[in-house]
Amino acid sequence: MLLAGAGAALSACDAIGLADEDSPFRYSAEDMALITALADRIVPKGDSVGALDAGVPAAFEGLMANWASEETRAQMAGVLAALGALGGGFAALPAGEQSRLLADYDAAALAPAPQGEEELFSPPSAKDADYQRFKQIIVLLFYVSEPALTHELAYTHMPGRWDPSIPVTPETRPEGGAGSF
Amino acid sequence: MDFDAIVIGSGMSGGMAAKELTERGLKVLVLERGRNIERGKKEDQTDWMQPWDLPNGGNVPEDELAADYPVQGQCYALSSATKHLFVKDSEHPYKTPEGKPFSWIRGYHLGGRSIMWGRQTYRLSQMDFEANARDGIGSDWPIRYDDIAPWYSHVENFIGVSGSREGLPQLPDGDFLPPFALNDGELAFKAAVESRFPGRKVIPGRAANLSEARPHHQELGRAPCKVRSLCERGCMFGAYHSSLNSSLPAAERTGNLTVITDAIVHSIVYDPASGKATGVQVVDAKTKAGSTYKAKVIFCCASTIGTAQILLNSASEAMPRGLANGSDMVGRNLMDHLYQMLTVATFDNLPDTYYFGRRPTGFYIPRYRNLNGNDEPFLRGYGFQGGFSRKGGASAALAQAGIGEELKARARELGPWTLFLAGFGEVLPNPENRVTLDKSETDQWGIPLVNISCAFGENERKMTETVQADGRAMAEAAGGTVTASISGGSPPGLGIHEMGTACMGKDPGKSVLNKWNQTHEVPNLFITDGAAMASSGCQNPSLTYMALSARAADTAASMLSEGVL
Ligand SMILES: Cc1cc2nc3c(=O)[nH]c(=O)nc-3n(C[C@H](O)[C@H](O)[C@H](O)COP(=O)(O)OP(=O)(O)OC[C@H]3O[C@@H](n4cnc5c(N)ncnc54)[C@H](O)[C@@H]3O)c2cc1C
Repeated sequence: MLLAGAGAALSACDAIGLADEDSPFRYSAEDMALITALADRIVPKGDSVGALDAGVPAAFEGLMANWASEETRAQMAGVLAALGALGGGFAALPAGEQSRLLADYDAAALAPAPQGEEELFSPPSAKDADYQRFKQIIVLLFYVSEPALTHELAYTHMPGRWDPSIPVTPETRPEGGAGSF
Repeated sequence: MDFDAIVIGSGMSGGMAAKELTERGLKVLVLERGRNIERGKKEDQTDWMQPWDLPNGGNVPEDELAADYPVQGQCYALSSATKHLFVKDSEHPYKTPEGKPFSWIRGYHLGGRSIMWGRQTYRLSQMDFEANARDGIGSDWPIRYDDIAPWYSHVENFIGVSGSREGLPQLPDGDFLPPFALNDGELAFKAAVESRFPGRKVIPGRAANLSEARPHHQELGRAPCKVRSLCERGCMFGAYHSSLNSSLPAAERTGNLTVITDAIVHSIVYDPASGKATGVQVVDAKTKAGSTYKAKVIFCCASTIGTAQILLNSASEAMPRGLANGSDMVGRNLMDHLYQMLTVATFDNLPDTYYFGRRPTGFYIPRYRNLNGNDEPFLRGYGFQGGFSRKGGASAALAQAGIGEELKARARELGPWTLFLAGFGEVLPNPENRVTLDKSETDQWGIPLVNISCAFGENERKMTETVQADGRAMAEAAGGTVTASISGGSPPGLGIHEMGTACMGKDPGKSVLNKWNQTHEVPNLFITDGAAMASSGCQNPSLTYMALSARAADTAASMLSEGVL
């Protein structure tokens, strides 16, 4: 009872999904179209669920409104400007073209650039740390969502038992959960 | 209203002191500086939140983190779902000397840090209680293992500790509930470590989680652990020990308990004529109004640094250096554990199996160095906490470049077995590591800020090197590839095992407390939190604080009834 009641009572503006009503921060329609295209290319629906099913574009805006510092917002603005310019206007390109361009950009940006001691829980340092962070946020927003945790990964809120050894089958999925940006 | 006993602080030690005192018929007042919180109330405890319910996916807004939680944010357990259980550093400042950071991790609310603790529960051993005497360092403990053993059992039985019986002298067995078994990665690691390194053992982590709820647990409304590992957010099932889940409810049902929250103890009142403490002065956290409460006995359980602050702030004409501080040991010998000595390794030689559930513990490697005398370049020793898991999901998706279906496919794949190994090392008592009161600044309640000056020494530095070498050697002996070996970066305090500021001892000239946790100088003042510790061991210390609290409460009740106090 508590579970259902409490879950339902969580107000939308507290949830990861949407920007707080009192936050002035909003992306323009043009930016949202770009963010939507990028999220869809990074985590497409395929034959299960993707970033758009999980509401990642709105969640990204929400995160920038409710969580990000000015510095992070500026960092993301820089990334969006660079990605938006790809192919002479990324958002307007056909999906296949977007994927090809973004995959190339991604490979170049994430080329390893070791910088001394690595952060324990972060991906290896990359050439373009700003893009890496943008992608990390998009990917984490997807994998913390209900659609991802119920279709792409496994998550049981209340396992109720500890089984130290179970066989791996073709259906086995890793357990998901929250992560840090 | 006058009380038989006042307990200052409702955390791990205060909750236990209150339970034991009320169960012996004493009328007890618990004074807690933080706000009231309730088990199962959705604003207070967020274990109901699914991952997708977590505000900002679990992340505290960046500006808020920087402004309000610069120290608390160093603690792994701080998230958007738990930030209300940590103090705002901006509201509760303290000072450290330039270049000597100390991370004071705190929670001011009913239950203190017993709400967020990691529940690792280990006994100290005879070797630990003899260590100071053997090495000629610090204050010789006035008790030995046999004095406290029955109280360890008493507390373990009450709180419920899952664990395995191993028969190790350096980590005595307790009164355990069934252990959370090792997974297949851990079993293989155990076999490799125990065969390659005689004397080392890999055992299930002992945790204060009810793997089984016995009738006396159920009577307090506690149910078995649901294996969610969301414990630092609270538990609607009451399945782990905290003051909210067990000790305070037990105290409450006696009818002898009064709790006042938002009550900041400013100082303890001392009467030079009788030589006793008569009560405490309190500042209301909200209105800042002052009041005084009286009792026959006072238990100070405000946590190691909080207790030192109160004693030092209770200086009087009769005791100008601070209450019960004739020895000048109040505030000194501040210890923590060496922490954040991490080894991470991946394995491709282990069984292709998985596990189900999120066990609230992992494995433990009990101390194996210097067990029979000192044969290392350092004194004392260390243990490891760790676990094996198989990752996937977002971290696998982000581990290399790639977008689209390729990224999703990588995330769906069960990753390799990964070892996470974290050393916890004993820190020696050093009188120069100390808490004092700031002479110029007070907090918003008029209480002088604490100044914390603490640094690890040469013994700790040498120990860290060996910890990291051992971590790597064990991972590699089991066939692992070390992907990270990180040490040395964490300031004292971040182990969150701070202790020692009012040490027990045999000599009143060199210690603050006697063998009953009674101050040498003020017989009706007992201190039973981490301040009492004469040495730190390398085991997580809270069980010892609770056992000392229960033992001292039993003594205080007897002394009261015998008219000794
Ligand atoms: C994330 C985390 C993980 C941990 N993991 C473990 C673990 O696995 N095993 C382990 O053994 N330990 C662990 N610990 C440490 C453990 O929580 C502490 O050792 C324990 O809570 C200390 O007990 P205490 O009673 O001294 O202090 P607390 O539990 O902190 O309680 C002190 C109480 O006193 C109150 N107080 C302080 N000053 C005053 C005042 N002036 N007036 C009135 N009230 C006051 C505080 O508000 C608080 O409620 C962990 C801690 C944290 C935060």
